[in-house]
Amino acid sequence: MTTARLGLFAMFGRLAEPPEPRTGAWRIRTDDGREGVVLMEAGRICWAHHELTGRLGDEIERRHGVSRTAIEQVIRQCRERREPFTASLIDHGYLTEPQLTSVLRDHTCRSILLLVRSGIRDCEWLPHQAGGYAPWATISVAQAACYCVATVKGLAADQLEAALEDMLAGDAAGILIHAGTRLPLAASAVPMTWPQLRRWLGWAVRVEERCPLPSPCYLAGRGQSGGWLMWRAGAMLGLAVTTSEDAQRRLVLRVATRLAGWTVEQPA
Amino acid sequence: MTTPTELDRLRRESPHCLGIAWFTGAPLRLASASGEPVAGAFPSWNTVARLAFPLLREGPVASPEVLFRLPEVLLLLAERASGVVAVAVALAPAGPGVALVQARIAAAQVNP
Repeated sequence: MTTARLGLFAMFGRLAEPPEPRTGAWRIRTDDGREGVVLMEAGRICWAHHELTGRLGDEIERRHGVSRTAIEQVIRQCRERREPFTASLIDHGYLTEPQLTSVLRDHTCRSILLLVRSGIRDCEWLPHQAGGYAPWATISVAQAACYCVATVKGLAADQLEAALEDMLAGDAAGILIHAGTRLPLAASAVPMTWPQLRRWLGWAVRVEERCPLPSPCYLAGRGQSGGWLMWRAGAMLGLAVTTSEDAQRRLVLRVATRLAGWTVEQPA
Repeated sequence: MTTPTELDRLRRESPHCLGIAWFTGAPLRLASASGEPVAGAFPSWNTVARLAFPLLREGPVASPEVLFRLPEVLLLLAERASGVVAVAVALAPAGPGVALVQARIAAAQVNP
């Protein structure tokens, strides 16, 4: 499908809607005549690449000291046995799961940012069989979008996600928003859809516009099953959404007891 | 119980209660009140009125009751069939748990 030049959020809007079963690759052409690819499995982003992005293997070598020779040997073996490359790096003991997740996510999001900066002209969906990516090694479209925004803003995206999860603890889906710019800087491990991210972000911003919240404070609403909680710490707004009464109770208790001491990197 | 006189009496009888307000209409407007809303963040009950519907009805999950925990005050918003009641209770000396119970008891007496 041909599209006009896409900005970052518009591009994620496209990435979020692959045809069912949502496993395949987006082939992306940019204004400079180059190509990139975003691999997806069950609607989650596995990996992205752009011709100008450094190779993932080089990044693994730079960050974790795994030699090129070792990496190439794993790649050869994976091709022969048709095994997933990234999981094999862990099986061979070269990387831990968190190390792999971090380097993969960083490489993927930098590639997506390069694609956007190059001027996206075409996004073409190429369905294919599942690549066997471990779910923990993939990220939701919402997570990738927030990671990209944090990276553009020069913030440590991994640390922002960790601070968000410190509050959510797997009980809720949620986002971290910079109140000043109204940009989402981190999304939860508990998945949310792209429309949910846009809707929740818009609502939190509307509330903040009507009455700038003092810091620290929180608001909580409880519905028939689950509820929501919005908190403010410095320039950051957090929004969490639960789907059960128990999860909502735990969330409120956690935020009530931790908010005063909760720290998160604040954008300049 | 929604007249200013009735709300005055309810506020006097409710421990640590700083203010009670009753809102009606669409858009929501202040119908009657006793006492002051939370100082600083909320300069007037009208600000609470502007915030009430987005919080009660438009959030990620529709909620008939919203708890607003500020540094020194707890504000409870509760939707009724004919309007919205807001109760502000000081967090000291009771603490947030007791303040919430006190706010709910007071709110329950306004157009239950």
